[in-house]
Amino acid sequence: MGTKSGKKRKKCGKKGDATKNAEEPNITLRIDDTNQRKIPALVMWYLSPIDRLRRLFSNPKDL
Amino acid sequence: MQWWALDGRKKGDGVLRHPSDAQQWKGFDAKYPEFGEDPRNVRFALSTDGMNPFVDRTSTHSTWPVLLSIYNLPPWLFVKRKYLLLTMIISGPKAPGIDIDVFIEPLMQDMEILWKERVEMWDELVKSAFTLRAIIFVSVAL
Repeated sequence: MGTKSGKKRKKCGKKGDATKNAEEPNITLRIDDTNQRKIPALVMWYLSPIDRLRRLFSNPKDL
Repeated sequence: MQWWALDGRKKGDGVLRHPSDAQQWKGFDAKYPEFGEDPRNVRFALSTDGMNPFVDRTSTHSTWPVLLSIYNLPPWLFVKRKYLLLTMIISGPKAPGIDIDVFIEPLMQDMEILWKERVEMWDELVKSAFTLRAIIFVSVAL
């Protein structure tokens, strides 16, 4: 999925900087957002279909 | 929701105008006559696909919406946004892949309730309560 572009490789270099910071605990507390590559969080949303059905059946125009 | 069972709808001439004209639907009714008795019982189609809400970062984000569409509705309605049930959004760095069965677990629990235990539902059209059952009738591969 996806291809490696020049832009991405540049970012990888910056990631190396971030790991260097991790070795020195005093600096890691001051995280610089511009130098760190953000990793998207794995989030799952669940919306119950039962409630949607209840809503659907309560509207006479939908039936 | 009951449109497919109405007498006013043209049916029974061998033409497929709605999934209920097809053999799978009739076969399911024959297997579970109790389910087929009430036209309000919901038949879902399950579908999912990976999409990317952030145009330029193709490889760092992945979002998987899981949709349920209601096949009881007329074919010109069941793909409309109003009637699509967006039950799940899985977003993260990678596609869930084969692990999607773990994410889908809460949906399967709800489906178990809808199939085995049934759900009390108020029908505003006839102003009375009824017990609803539902099944995932087909899954749509995108």
